[in-house]
Amino acid sequence: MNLRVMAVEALKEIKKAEEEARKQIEGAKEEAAGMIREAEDELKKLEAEASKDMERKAKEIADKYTKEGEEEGEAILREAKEEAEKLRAIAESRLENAVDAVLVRILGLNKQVER
Amino acid sequence: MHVGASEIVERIKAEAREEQERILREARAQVENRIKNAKADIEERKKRFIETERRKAAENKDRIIRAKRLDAKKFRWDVEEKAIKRALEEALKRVQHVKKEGFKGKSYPSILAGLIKDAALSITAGSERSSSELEVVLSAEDAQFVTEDMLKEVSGEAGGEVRLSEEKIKTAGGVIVRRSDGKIEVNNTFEERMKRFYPELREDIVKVLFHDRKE
Repeated sequence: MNLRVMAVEALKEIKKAEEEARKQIEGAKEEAAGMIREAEDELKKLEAEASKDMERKAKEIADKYTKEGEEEGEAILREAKEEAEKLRAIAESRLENAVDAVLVRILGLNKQVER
Repeated sequence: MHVGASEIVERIKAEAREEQERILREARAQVENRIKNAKADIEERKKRFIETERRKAAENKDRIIRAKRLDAKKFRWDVEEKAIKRALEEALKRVQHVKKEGFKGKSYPSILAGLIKDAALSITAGSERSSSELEVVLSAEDAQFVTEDMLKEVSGEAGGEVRLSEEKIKTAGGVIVRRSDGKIEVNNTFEERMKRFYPELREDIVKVLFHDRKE
């Protein structure tokens, strides 16, 4: 083989290697882009899951506090009703005294006593 | 292949491999980093969101409890208001009994005399003696309790002539006293006194019914 032919062959080999290297790098770039796309998808999924999770937790918290508020409120009302009943009974037992107090003032006896 | 060319080819391949590895390594690192940051960001947002929701829910809970406390107070107010109303109604009903039996050792005529005297004194205190001719207006029922002697006694104490009016009024009891020129009048009917002394009466009733509950 003469020198020229050998040089041409060598150049072909180099060009081929360069072409393969270019393809290999292109492939890597595509693979990298694919990895990033997959990551983007995963991020979207994470966001969606987080959003759902936050909604669920917000509802749980709201329900829990509302339930607590209603339970405490009901206990307050129950106690107030009992207290009001006791008060009503006491007031009933003292009604005559209250009527006397009213009469003292409307009959003008408080002034007469003062004088 | 020529030795030089073969070396070049090998170098190209090696460089390509290195470049490929670098690209993939960087991509993997970028992916790992973005996911790590995103997860941290999500966790941070979740924490803030949950804290905000917890605060809102706690405020809502407080609002529910405040509303119930207000309702609870209304129970007491309701009992008080009904008891006050009842005491006032019963007092007016009891007036008939007072007319027959008297009250706290005082006969009804003496109670009426006291009311007439109070009213007369209020009028004469701000009038010229000469113009202090007073008339006493009562219901037909109460007029029977007033005697000439009683009016004379009141006239002496009040410093003006007090006489019984022909006019009769509808009232549960008590009296209206007015100057004969009609310019000054003191209404001492029980209904009017109840209105006039309503704040004091409420206080009296509440004190008797609801204070000092050991009694």
